[in-house]
Amino acid sequence: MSPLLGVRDLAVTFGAQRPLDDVGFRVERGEILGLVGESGSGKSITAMTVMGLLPLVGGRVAAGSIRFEDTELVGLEEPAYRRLRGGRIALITQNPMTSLDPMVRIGRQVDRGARLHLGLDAATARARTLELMERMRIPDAARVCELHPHQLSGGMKQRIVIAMALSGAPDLLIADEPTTALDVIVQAQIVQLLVELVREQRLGLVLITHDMGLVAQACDRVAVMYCGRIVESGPVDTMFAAPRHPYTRALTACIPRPGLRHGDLVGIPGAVPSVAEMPTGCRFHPRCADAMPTCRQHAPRSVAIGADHAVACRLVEPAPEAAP
Amino acid sequence: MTLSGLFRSTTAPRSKRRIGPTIAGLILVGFAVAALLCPWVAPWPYDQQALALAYRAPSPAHWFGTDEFGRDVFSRVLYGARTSLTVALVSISTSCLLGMVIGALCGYVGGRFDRWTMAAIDLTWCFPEILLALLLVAILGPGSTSTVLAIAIAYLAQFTRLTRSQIRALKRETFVEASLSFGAGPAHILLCRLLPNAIAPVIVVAMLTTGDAILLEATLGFFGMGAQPPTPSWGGMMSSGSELLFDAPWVILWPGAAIAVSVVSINVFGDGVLDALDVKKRERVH
Amino acid sequence: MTKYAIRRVLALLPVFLVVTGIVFLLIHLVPGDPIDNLVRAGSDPEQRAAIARAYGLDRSLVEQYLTWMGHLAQGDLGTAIVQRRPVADLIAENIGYSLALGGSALAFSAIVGVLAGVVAASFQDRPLDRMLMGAALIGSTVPSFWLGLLMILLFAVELGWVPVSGARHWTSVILPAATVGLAGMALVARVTRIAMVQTARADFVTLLHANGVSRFAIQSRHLLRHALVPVLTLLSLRIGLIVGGSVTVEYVFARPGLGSLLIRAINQRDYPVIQGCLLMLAVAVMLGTLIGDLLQAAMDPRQREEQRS
Repeated sequence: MSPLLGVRDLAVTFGAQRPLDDVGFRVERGEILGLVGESGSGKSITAMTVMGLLPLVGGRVAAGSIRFEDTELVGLEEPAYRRLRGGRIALITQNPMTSLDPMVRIGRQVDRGARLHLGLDAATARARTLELMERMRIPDAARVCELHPHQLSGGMKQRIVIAMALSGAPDLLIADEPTTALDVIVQAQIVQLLVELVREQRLGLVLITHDMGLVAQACDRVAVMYCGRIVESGPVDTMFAAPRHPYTRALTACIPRPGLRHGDLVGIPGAVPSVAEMPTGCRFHPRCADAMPTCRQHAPRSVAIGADHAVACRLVEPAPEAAP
Repeated sequence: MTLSGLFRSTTAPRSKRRIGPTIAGLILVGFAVAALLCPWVAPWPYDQQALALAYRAPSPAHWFGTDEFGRDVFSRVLYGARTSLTVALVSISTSCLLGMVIGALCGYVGGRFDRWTMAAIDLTWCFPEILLALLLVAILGPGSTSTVLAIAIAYLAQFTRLTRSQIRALKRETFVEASLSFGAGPAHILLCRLLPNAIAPVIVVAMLTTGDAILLEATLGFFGMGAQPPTPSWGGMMSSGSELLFDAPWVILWPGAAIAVSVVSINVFGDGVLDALDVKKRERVH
Repeated sequence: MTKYAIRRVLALLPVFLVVTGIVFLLIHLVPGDPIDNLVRAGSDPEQRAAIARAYGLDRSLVEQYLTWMGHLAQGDLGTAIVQRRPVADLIAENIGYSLALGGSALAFSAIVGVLAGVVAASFQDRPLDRMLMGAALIGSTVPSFWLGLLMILLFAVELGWVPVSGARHWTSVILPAATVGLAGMALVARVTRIAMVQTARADFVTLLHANGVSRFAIQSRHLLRHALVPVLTLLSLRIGLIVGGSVTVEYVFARPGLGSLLIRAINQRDYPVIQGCLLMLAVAVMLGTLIGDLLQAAMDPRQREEQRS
């Protein structure tokens, strides 16, 4: 059976720039995939691409395929894509402060998904909205419906944004750093809500984040992105227990944990290069402690090194059974 | 990267240097030269009457035609540049200087002095510029001096407000604290630290406002309240020409075109300067 | 909302007092004896005494102001020196023409400006956008009286579509309104375009797209609504531009109205008429700004809150 979402060899161009190259990952029903990377690694562009919103920011899919169940999304006609958006695939954005139309009452904004994609009339859609808001643990939902966004707190707004995403009864959620703008306690509550939703309704969730702690806490599988490429992907446990790519190792080393002494926590030297000056070969080589001369010239291919575990690095030998 | 960040990083890089502001700048230089050198450049004296030659259409001898007294319209447009540009420049510099002084004092001193002065200055907001100018002309009588005063007062509030807000913002910056901690006096801080940093936006606005001033001068002139005949000013020429619209339209078309071209040039040029400043600012950030 | 409206109206009171104060002071600021500014040259002493009594010119300025305000409250703006008629009558005769002109100019600049801005925004950075914005730049800078004269030459003289001047037929308002409205229209178009383009980049618009809302619905129901707020701000700030422009354009088109009345009065040094006209025009600006504020607050829920704090 095909996965809920399967992305393969995806490349995206913005004019002459190519911020995404050879990206591949998949999400099953009832599964949470963490898409991890520093800012500028192409996570948000990936989200926009899957949503079919690239033209909005001036980008274009140059190669590859995005399959949603049995539908190929690359090259899908806009009207068909629009029915999918909100109806089958929904987006949760990063900043709840700016994600709601400040001039429209909350209720009407949440109703829209159900009216648009489920064909409900105003009263039924509102009933669904109230139900969704209740499930998002929004107290006094009926009153909140009549408010304007500026009258709510950040955490409340993010719950509304999630309720909006759920309104059209989608099968796949793409959450682009859904908790970055919130304080820690609210973060935990929102993540808890998302996890519950996925488990109960067997949704697929792509959780885009730069927070390895969050990944460890919530995700089933992880895909690590660096400079527009997936450098390593696999089950959370494997990835944290035995990260293979130098970048993943560096990322996991950055997680503060108990028993750490002063000076143990190290960052990664250097910064993510900008899209305009992408290094040749392996894009991580300028920052990699183990870089070899060949890394400068040849981009490593992604190889399977175990059950469901793939790495793109010259240092890593493919597992014997996966060797060609 | 946030979604809105995506937009910023992916919008096309600023198009190559635009040609418009350069052309506008050259036109303005041309007007300035014409205004300065008109006695030598103009083919005819501005006041030479020849009633037999009245209402001549544009011809090789009179490029822009002649008016009701047979005066050469081209020469009068050149001399008019002198009057109109002088009035606009003098009034805007007066307004700008005065506004900067008052604004800087208000911004720096603050408190009750600031509140009362600003309240007085803001009174001018009650009337639109043209009404304010008409009010002043009604009090002072017509003429170039009244026009200069009227324009200077009409735009005073704008310059005062702008300087004041600049100074207030700068006052909170760390380099002021640094100067204070070195024992610098208030006069030193205001003149040597704050004003130089506040001046650039004020100058740009002053430049853009000069366009409005030319318009206002022309409007007053058109009502017959500006420079009095026989001194030619663009607005004044149009005023005496408005009855001739049907018989000798060139008498008003050319001074009007001069106003339009100069005002559009000032705006295009000012926009270009703003863009250039913006670019510089960004380069400094990186 | 009602509370907000009341507060806004109350805030206008001091401004109104200042405006009346300045207008009242006019006759004292003009060089010479105020009486000379209120009566015809060569009036006999009895007439002068009567005027001095009516205006209380022998008393203190404050008392004079109060007397003047008292007259004003009863609709008495004094008597025109040249026409020897009550200023209030003159204003009543002319105000309708000015309102018609100002109103149609406002409508013209708002409707055409917003349309042009929306079109430019949907064709952002393409030739149509550049053309419209270039035209807007020129439209906002070309002197309106010159433009008016050009339009008379073209539409009234050459083509004969509309009357050259005057105000006898309703078509006579078209050219003046277009002339006044053009400057406002250009500004409105620029502001609408920028607001639409900027709002289009907001996260909530991306989210609307992501929820499958159609492009047209996003533009018409969300972006336009956001763009209208700054447009209203602009229009209410620029109400003075419209009023001022009307003054000029009335004179150009030889249309009756407060502007023509004012210009003629200034040239004739008819101070009571000048006072009356200035007062009415200033009040028009104040009311226009007030209405703009209220409309804005009605549209944008955040506005009312911010003002409260």
